[in-house]
Amino acid sequence: MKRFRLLIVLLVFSLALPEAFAQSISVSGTVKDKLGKEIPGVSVVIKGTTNGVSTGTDGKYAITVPKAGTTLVFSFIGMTTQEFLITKSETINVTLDEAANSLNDVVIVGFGSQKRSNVTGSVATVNSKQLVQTPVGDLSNALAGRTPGVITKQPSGEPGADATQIYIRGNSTFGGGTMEPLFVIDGIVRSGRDFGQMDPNEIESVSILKDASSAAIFGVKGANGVVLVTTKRGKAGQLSANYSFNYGFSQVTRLPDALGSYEYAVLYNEAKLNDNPNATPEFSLDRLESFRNGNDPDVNPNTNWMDLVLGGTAPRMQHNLSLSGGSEKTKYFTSFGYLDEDGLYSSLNYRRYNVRTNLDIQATSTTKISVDLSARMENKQSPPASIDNIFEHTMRNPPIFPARFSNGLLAAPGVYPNPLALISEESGYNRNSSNYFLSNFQVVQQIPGVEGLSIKGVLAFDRNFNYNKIWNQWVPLYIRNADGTYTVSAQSKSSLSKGYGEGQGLELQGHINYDRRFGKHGISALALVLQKENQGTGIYGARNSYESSALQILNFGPALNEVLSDGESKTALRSAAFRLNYDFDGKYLFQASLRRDESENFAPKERVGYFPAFSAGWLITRESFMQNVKFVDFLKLKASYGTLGSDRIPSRFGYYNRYNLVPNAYPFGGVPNTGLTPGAIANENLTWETSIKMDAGIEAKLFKNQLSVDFTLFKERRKDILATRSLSVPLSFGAALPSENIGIVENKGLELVLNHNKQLSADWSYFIGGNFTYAKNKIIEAAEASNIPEGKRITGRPNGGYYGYKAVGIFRDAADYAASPKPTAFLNSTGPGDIKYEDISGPNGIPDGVIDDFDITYLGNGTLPQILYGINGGVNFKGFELNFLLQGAAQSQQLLTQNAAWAFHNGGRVNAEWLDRWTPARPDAPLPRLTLNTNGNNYLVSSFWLQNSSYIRLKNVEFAYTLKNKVLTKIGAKNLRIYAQGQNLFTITDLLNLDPENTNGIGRYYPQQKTYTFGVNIQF
Amino acid sequence: MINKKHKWLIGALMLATATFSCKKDLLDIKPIDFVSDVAVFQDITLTNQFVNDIYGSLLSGFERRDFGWTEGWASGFSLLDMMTDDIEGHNDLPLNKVQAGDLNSQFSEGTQMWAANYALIRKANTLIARIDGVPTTNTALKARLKAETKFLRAFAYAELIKAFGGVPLITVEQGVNDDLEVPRNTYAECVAFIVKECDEAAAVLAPSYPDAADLGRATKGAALALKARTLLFYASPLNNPGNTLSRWDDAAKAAQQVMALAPATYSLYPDYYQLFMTKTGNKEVIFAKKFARPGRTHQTAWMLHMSIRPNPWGAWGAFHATQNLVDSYEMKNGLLPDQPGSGYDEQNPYANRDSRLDRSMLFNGSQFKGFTVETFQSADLSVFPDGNAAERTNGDRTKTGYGLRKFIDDRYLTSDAVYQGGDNDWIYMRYAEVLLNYAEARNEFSGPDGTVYDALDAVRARAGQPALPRTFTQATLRDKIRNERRVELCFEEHRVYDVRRWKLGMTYFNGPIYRMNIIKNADGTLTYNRRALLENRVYKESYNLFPIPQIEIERNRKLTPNP
Repeated sequence: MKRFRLLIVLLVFSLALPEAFAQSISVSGTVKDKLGKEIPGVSVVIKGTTNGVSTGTDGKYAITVPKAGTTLVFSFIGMTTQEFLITKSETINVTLDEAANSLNDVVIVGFGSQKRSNVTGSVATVNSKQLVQTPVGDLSNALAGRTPGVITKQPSGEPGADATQIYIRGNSTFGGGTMEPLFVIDGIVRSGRDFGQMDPNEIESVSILKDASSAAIFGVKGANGVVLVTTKRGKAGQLSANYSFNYGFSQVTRLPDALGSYEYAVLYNEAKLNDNPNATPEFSLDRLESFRNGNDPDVNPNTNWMDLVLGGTAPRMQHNLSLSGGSEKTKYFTSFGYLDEDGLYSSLNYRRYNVRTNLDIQATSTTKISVDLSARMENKQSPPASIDNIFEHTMRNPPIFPARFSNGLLAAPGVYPNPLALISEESGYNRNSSNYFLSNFQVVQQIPGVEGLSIKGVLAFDRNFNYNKIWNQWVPLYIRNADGTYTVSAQSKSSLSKGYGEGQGLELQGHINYDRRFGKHGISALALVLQKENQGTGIYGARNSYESSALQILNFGPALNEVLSDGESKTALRSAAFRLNYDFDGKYLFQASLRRDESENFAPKERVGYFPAFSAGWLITRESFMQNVKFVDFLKLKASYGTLGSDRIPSRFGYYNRYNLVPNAYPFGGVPNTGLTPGAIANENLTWETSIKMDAGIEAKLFKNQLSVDFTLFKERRKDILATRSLSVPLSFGAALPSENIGIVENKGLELVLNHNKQLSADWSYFIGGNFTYAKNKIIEAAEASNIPEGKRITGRPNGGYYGYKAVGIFRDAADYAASPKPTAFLNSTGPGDIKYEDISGPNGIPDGVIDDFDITYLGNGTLPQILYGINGGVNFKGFELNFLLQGAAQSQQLLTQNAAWAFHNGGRVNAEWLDRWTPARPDAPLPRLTLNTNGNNYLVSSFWLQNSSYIRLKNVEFAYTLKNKVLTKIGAKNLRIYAQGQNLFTITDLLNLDPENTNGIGRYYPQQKTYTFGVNIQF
Repeated sequence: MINKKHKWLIGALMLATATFSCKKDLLDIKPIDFVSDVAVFQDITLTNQFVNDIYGSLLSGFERRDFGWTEGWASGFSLLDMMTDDIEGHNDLPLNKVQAGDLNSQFSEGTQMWAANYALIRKANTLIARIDGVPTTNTALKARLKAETKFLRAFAYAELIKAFGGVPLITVEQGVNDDLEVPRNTYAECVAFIVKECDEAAAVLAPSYPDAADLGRATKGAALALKARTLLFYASPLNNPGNTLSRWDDAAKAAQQVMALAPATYSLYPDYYQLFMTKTGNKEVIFAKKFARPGRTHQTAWMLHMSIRPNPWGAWGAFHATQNLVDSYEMKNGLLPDQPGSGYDEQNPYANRDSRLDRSMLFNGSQFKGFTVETFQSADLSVFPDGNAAERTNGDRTKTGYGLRKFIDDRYLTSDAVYQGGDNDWIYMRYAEVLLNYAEARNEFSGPDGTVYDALDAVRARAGQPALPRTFTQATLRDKIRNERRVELCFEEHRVYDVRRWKLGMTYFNGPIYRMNIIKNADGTLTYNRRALLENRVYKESYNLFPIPQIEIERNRKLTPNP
C-alpha cells in the first residue's frame, strides 16, 4: 500500500512541477492516437485566435507562440480536444484520445482493428462497462438488448447452464445446422462456452460481426456471424489494481399460478362429471370442506409444489481482482475471478474460477511478443435427477398430495416422484468439474526498411478436462395409513456413473500485414494462413444395483448391468485469407477479401471453398460541400456483399458409406451379439452451407454528436442447407437418405440504432438510446413431398413455424355444436364447451364440413421473435449514475402444452386461469370445459394453445455512486464505486404461466431468474 | 553475423511458416467408430453381424410406438390389440381414437409398421444381393445366412400385407436415383412371393440348431409356419371373397407341414404362463423376437402393468382387459358363462373358469407378488377404503377391473429393476397357433373331422379344458375355433387381424365395451356388476385394412390408398 501511495504522490508531484520562464517560444512535436499512430491534419491553434497550423502526414507540427502563458488547442474530428499551457520552448508530443461515443473508436475486426469511421461492414460493439453492468453467470446474457442484430433467447436460468442462444440477424438454417455464431477470443476461435464463462472484468470489448464483409475473413466458419472478444492488456505505467465484489440473490421471474386443493378438488369433480355424467364425484363434500378449512394437512394437504421447489432465493457472489501495468518493455494484465452461484434448491451450486495473464514484451524495437494464458475451472454440483425429471413433477403434482408430513417425513405423492426427494441431498449428487487451459502466443515483427510491413506468427494451444460423477440413491418416502401409521416405500438400490473426457486444440497462424498511407491513399492489407487441429476423447462407465452406499466407486457395484463406452473425435481445418483495404482521402473506402478453406468434414474433392466479399463506404461529411451543413457532424453510406459458409452441419463423414456398430444387436441363445447396421447412404458431394449476404447502411452523427443514427438493411440467402429428401422419398426405400445440400432460406430485415446524449452542465448529463431489429425469414426450398397438403407445406413460410388447427372459439351450446364442423376422431367425447376449429380445407381443397388433417395450417413463425429491441438510458449527476436497459421482443409465439397449460394432464394440477372455464352457465368463458382426459379434441395442436410470447422486460437497472476523495487517497485507492443492480426486474407479456424467453412449452426447464445485486468496485 | 534483432525476425518467420510446412495428411481423418460397406462384405464375420442387425430390426408387439410421444422410452405400451374389443388402452394413446372410430392415414402405429418393415426389407435385399460375393470357405454358413434373411424378408412382407393388403414388392436394394415410386402389388402376388421365399428358406434351414448359441435364428419350422399363416389369411373371407375352397386346403396342408415336425421339434409348453417367460427348452416357440437383459430389454412390464397400492415397483397402467374378453373364457366345464347350465355365478365370477383367465389377467382377488388384487370401490369411504387397484386409487388405475398378467415378468417388477426393462421374448409364432390355424382351415375346407377336434383339444387340454364333444356343425365349430383363438392367443396381436379377416369388425368392434364394476358394501360384501358400460366403440367396414400411411401417400403418387 505504501508503494501505491508513493507512486501516486510522485506522479502528482511531477505533473505539478513548476516550469522555467522563457521569451522566444517555439513548440513542436508529434500528434499520435492511442495506438501510437501519427495523425495527420490535426489542427494546432492558439487559443482565442484563428492562428495555427496542421500536423503533416507524419503527424508532426511546429508552431511559434507569442508569449509564455499562451494556450495551444489540439483538435481533430472525433477526438477529444486537448489544451496545453505553453511556458517555454519545448517538444510537446500529444496523444489524442477518441471523444466519448466517437466514430473514431477503434473497432476490433477479424484479425485486426479499424477506426469506426472507416468500417464498411456491419459491426456492433458492446463495451466492457456494459458487460460488467449486467451481473450474469454466462456472458452471453449480457449481450441481450445491447446491440441491434443480435436476437437472443435465454431458455434456462440454471446456474452454470444459463447461456443465451444467440441468433445474429435471425434464423437462416434448418434441419440441424446450428445458428450459433463463431466466437473468436483474441484472434483464436473458441467455443461459445469459452466466451460465456469468461469473467467480464477480463474483457476490453466485444464486437459482433454481422455482415459478409466483416465476417468474410472467417470464411466457412463465418456464416452465422462472429462474436469477437478482445481481452484487456497492460499499459505502461504504474501498477493499477482493481478489485470488485458483488453479492446478490435470484428469484424466479414468473411461476405458474396453480390452484390449491379445494379449488382443484372442486374442478376435479366437475371434470369427472363432464367425462361421465353418471360418475360418482371423486371428492366428497366432507373432503372438500376439509380442503377448504385446511384442517389436518397430513390428510388434506394443500401443497404448492412450485413454491416448495422454486420459491426460494438463490444467493450469488462474484469477486474479481485484476492488476495491470508495466514498463515500456514489458506490460502485463492479470486477473483472477471467482463466481459462486447457488440454485433455488440447496443441492445445486455452481462455482467458477477464472485466471488470465496477458503479457506483452517489446523484445526489440521492432519485435513484440505476447503471451496470453487463461484458465478456468468450473465446478457444478446438482442432484442426480435431471432438470427435466425434477420439473416434470414439480409442474405436474397436484396440491392434494402431501410433500412432507408434519412429522418431517417426506411423502410419496401418488404415483409420481416427490420433487422434494429429487432435489434432496440425500438423493445423491451429480458432480461436474470442467477445467480449461487456453493459451495464445504471438510474435509480431516489423520488417525493418519496409515501412508499414509486419509479420506475425500465432500459436494457440488448448487443453480441457471434464469429469462427471453421478451417484443416485434411494430417498425414503412415506405413505400415511388410515390408522395414522406410516409405511416406507420400497428401498431401491443405488447407481453410479462416471465420465471422463479430455480435449486439445492446436492452432497455428501466420500473418503478413501492410499498413501505410501514401498521401491521400491509404492502404492496408493482410495475408493470413491458418491451420487448426482439434481432438477429443472420453470414456464412460456405469453400474447400478449397489447394495450399499459405503463405497461410491465403480468396482464396488455388480457387473451385471454395467455400461462401458468410449469415444474419440478429431477435426482439422486449413485456411488462407487475404484482405485489402483502400481509402482515398479518408472519404472513399473499399474493402475486398477472399478466404480459402479446407475442412476435413467433407470428401477430398469437396473440401476446398472460396469465400469472397466486397464492401465500400462513402464518408460524405468529408466532402467539401458538407462543410457548411453544420448540424451534420458525420455521415457515411456503406454497402457490402459477400459469401460465407457454415460447416457446422449435422453430418460427420457424410461422404462415407458406413455401417455403424450396434452393441447387443440381437441375443441368440440369450447371449447378446454385436451388430452392424447400415447408416445413412453416403453423399460424396456433401458440402457446407453457403450464405450470400448483402448489407447497406447509413450512419450519421448530428447536432454536435448529440444524436447518432445507424440504419442498416440486410438480406441473406442461405443455400446448400443440409436436408434429406426423406420428405419426398417413400418410406419403402427403407434407408436413411443422405443429407444433401438442397435447402434454401432467405432472411431479410433491418436494424436501427438511435442514440442521444447530452451534457447539461458540468454535473449533469444523460443519455438515451434504442436499437431495433427486424428479421424475417422464409424457406425457399426444403425438398418437400410433392403431395403434401397446402396447409402443412413449409416452403414459402418462416423457418421453425407452428402448424396446427385454427381454433375459432368454443362451442357455446348444443346448437353451436350441432352446426359446426368437428373432428371425426372425437365425436363420442365432444360437445358444447369444447374447442371449435376452422374447417379450412378438405381432400379436394375445399372445406368439407369435417375437421381433419386437411385443416392443419400455418399458425405462426415460432418461438424465435422477428422483432427485437432494446432501450437504454441513464443519468449522471456528479458521482451518481442511474442506468437502465429495457429489452423486448415481438412476433413470436409459444405453444403451451401439458402441465404448463392443461388441467389435469397426466393426473396433474390445474392452473388458476381454469377458474374461468366453460360451463353451461358461462358459455363465453375463454377456456373449454374441464376433462380428465387430455388426449381429446381440445388438446390437438391448435392456435388455441399458441400464445403470443412478445414481451418487454426491464433487463437491467443500475444505481451507482463513485466516490473520489482524500480519504480514499489515504488508503491508496483512486476511486470507489458502489452500486445496486437489478436484472429482469419486471416483464410484461401476454404469455401465461411461463417466462417468455423459454423454449420449452411443457414448462420443464429451470426458470429464468431475476437478480438483485449489490457491489463495490475499488481502483487503486 | 546474425544480430539480436534478426534472431527475433527469424523466430517470427519460422513460426509463421510453420503453417506451410504442416503435415500433408492433416485433413485425412478416418472414422474410428464405424466401418465401410465394402469392409462388411469382405469379411464373413462382419456380414454375420449385419444379419444380427436384420434380426434386430424386427418390430414386435413390445416395441410399438405411438409417435405422439417423442420420448425415447415411449415404446411398448400400445399393443395393436388395444384396437380390439379385448383391451382398453391408456387414455393418452392414439389407439383410443381408433376405438372411437377414427382410423385414418395418420395412424402412427401403421406408419411405424410400414417404416420398420421396409427398413428390414431393404437390409435383407442388400444382404441377399451381396452375400454371394463374400469371400469365405464356409459356404454352408453363407447359404444359411441367406436363407435366414429370405425368411426375415418374407416375414416383414407378411406383417405388411396382414395390415395393409397388397404392398409394393421391392426385392432389390434401391438406389437413390432409381424410380422409387413403386406401385402396389396385388395381395395375391405378395402371397405368392412370401410362399415362394418361405419354401426356399425351408429347403435350406434346419428344423433346429445344434448349437445353443444359435437359439432364436429362423428355422425350417418358422418358414413353414409363416407360409401356413399367410395361406390362412389368403383363404379368409376378407381376401377370398369367392371362398375358393382350395385356398383353405392349401392353408391346412401348410399347417400340417409344421405339425409334421412335432413332437421332435414342437410341442405345447405345459404351463401357459411360463410359456411366455421360458427362453430355453421351450418347444412351443416357433419364431420370436429375442430379448436379453441388460442390453436388449423392453419396457412392457411397467408400461402395461396396472398399479397396485402401495406401488413399490412403478407402473404406467396402459392396459385394461375388457369384460367382453373375460366373458369369452369358458367355465371349467367347457361352457361359456352365458350358456345355459354353465354354472356361472354373477357374484363369484372368477370361480371355475378356464385356467387361462388367471394366467392372462389380474382381477379382483388375484394373487400377484404377495398382494391380493382389489379392484372394488368402496360404497362408503368412511367405512372401507377403495381396493388397492381400484379406479380411485391413483392415475394408473384399472379402468375395467382387469390388468395384465400374461407377458408380465414380475421378477423385474421391483423398484430397482423395473425401469431397466424386462427381457421375455415376443413370440410371433408358436405351436398352438399352428394347431388353431390347421383346425380353422381344415374346418372351412371340409368341415369338422377328427384332426380338427384333435388339434383343438390339444390346445384346450393344456389349459385344463375338457375335450370338445364331437357334435359340432361346420358353422358352430367355426364359432368355437374363433373363440378358442381369442382366448388362447389373447393380447398376442392376433385378434386385431383375425376379426378383420373374418370380416366381423362390425360385430365385435362396433358396439359397447363393458367393465367389471365391483362395489364393496358397508357390510363387507362385494356386489359385482359385470356389464357396466365402459364406452361405445365405432367401427367401419372400411377399417378392415389399415390406411396406407399419409406420409407415404404424399411421397409415392403411384400408391393407391385403401378405401
